[in-house]
Amino acid sequence: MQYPGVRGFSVDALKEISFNVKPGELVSVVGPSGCGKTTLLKIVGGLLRPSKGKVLIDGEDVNIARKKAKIGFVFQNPVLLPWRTAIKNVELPLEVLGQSARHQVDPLRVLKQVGLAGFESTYPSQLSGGMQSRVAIARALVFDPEILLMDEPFGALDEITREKLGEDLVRLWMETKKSIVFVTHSIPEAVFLAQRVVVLTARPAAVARIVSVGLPHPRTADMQASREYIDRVGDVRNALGLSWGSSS
Amino acid sequence: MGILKLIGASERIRVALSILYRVLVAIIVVGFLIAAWQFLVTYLRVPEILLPTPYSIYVAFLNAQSTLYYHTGLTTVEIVTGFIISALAGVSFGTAIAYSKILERILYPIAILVKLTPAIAIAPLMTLWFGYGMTSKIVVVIIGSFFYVIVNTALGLQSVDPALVDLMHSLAAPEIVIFFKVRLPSALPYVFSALKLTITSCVIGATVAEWVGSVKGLGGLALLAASYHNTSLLFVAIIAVTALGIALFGLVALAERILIPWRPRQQGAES
Amino acid sequence: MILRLRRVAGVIYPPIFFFLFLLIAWQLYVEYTHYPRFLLPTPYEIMSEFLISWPTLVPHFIATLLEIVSGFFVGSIIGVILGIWVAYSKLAERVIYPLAILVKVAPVVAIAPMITLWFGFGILSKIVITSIISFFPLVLNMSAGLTSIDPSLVDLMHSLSAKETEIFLKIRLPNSVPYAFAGLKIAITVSVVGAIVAEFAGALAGLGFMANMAMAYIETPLLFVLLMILSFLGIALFGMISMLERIFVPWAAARGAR
Repeated sequence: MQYPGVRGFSVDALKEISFNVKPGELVSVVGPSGCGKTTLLKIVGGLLRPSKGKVLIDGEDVNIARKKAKIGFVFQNPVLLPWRTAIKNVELPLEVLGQSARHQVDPLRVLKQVGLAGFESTYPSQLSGGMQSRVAIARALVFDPEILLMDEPFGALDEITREKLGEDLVRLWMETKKSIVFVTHSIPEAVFLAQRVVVLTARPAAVARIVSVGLPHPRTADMQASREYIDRVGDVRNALGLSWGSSS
Repeated sequence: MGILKLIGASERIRVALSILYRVLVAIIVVGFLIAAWQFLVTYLRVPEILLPTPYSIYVAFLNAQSTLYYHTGLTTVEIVTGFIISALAGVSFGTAIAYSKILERILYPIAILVKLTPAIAIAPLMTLWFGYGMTSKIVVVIIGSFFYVIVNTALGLQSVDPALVDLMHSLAAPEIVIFFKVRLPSALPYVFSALKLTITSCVIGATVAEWVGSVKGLGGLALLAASYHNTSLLFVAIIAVTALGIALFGLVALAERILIPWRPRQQGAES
Repeated sequence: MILRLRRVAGVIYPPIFFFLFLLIAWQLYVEYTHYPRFLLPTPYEIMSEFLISWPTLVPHFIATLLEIVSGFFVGSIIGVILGIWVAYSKLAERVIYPLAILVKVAPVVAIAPMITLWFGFGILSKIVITSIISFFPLVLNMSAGLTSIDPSLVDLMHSLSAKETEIFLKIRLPNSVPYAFAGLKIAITVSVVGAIVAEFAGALAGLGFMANMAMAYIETPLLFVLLMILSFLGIALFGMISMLERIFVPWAAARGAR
């Protein structure tokens, strides 16, 4: 998959941005607040049209890929339908896509994958924030898309839950081998989860640097003390113009 | 609008001009409608009894001017008196309920229940008790809005952010200080919600109470005009009541703006 | 279950006791002070009046009930349809929305004498009035319910290439149900008021009409009876809509909103 140059609107939301994502890769996108990460993600997913440039998935235009149900979205806010139970929420894309959903995953299985077995018949209002995020992820996985686009999906959660969900996400990724683009404003999270980190500048955003993280997956918590991890975080911070204290 | 942005007009001027634009459009549309009305009624020879022309309404208005002001004044006094009494009493009772568990458990359910009943039904009884004068109308007005204000005041006083109260306690503030500095201001938006809602029913209350027993006031005038089949005068009365209702509502909204300058604007559904 | 019943009972006890206390005090006061009965009859007299005269009141009850319910139905249905239209059409929004707000502010019932003049003293004019009254809260609430959707949800639907009809059926419509019910609760309350007011403006039958008569003939116990029936009617109808709301909006139970 590749995402060639892309630009924003009457107010320049984004400058020239261009990067590729290999199949099955977990890429995170990090940048300062308001730099246009969400806009970028929407363009990548075909929800917004770039004023210049295009997005190609496997060589075809993103809108075609979208119609073929190849893209799954997870937003900052889980946005579950309050009048539907968890499992009915997960089934929503299947209902909408109908025929286009060529690959389907059993909703119950997906819920189990995200760790919510037994919660099928609960309403969103009865679920915690973390659980709602899981349902949102399950919803994005149920039609087996090739790509997952996630916009700060753990943004509203506390640190402990974030870590747990991050681990679960990586586990899921290793099981399903999808390509994931994961937007976040947390540098540690970006480095810890991804294989490559796309660092954006402040608005209008451009690619400041792409940092490859050389740690193997599955990553364990102790890797956070490793040299490689610390160096990569330092690289990202430098690219963002943040100093690291004493230099190495 | 793009033009204005181009010449770098300040934000304020742009907003003012766009409002002006909207108002002008509204006036033109309304003017057009009135003209169409006049034209259609005359052309189609609609009988005067059914639908008078704007012109004849205007004539009726001119003819009735002095009495109109008298009746309007009467109704307005009824409404305003009742409304103010109801507001003051309502807030007092609401405060009492908020502070006394006993009173709350007794009165709160009653207040909510009464809030649901058609207060207007009381009008004949009030007329029986207080006669055909202004008093009965004022009482109807009071009863109509009193319970609403009570419920909302109590609600508002109770839904103060507990963190704020904790803060005040940490400063060892006495209850009365807490009340005036924290509880009352928190409750004001709720109170004004109730006031805005009930001012309209107060206007209705006074007008309808006049139908039940009076030939004075705008309500009485309307009914009189109807019985004489003087449709033009009827229209004048109706327009006057509507204008009065809108004006009073505007006053309450204005009062709200002044007393609650921090309130964010809301839109959409009510409940 | 038992706990809930106990809780409900706990809420009901105080006002009921208070109410009974009031009744007894009332009865004793009137009897003791020989208060003029035509001003304030005793609860006992009111009860007896009710038992005697309720058969004659039935046709009037039905008339008023009919006025309220038909107007409510007609007004609500039109209100919902127009609400949908307003949500989807900028033009409709520009025209109808300001009108709806105007009506919310202005005393709509003032037009009652005019409607009575046009449609006569019969039931029709009352139904027209209640329809007009019920209609506006629903337009406002329905359009709000259809449009106040989290934009991320709309994005999600778009990412699945959903068509607008599908978004409407699966997202907007269910979202608007709680809003619609809020509107219905307002509509039923104002319909009751509207019907009574309309009868005051000129009628041949109905509870409001009877109230007027009772006042003219100084039949005070009857007046009290009518008041009781009217209050009961208002509360009962509101209660029915609330119950319907519980059925149609089960997911709000967790929130515990009032």
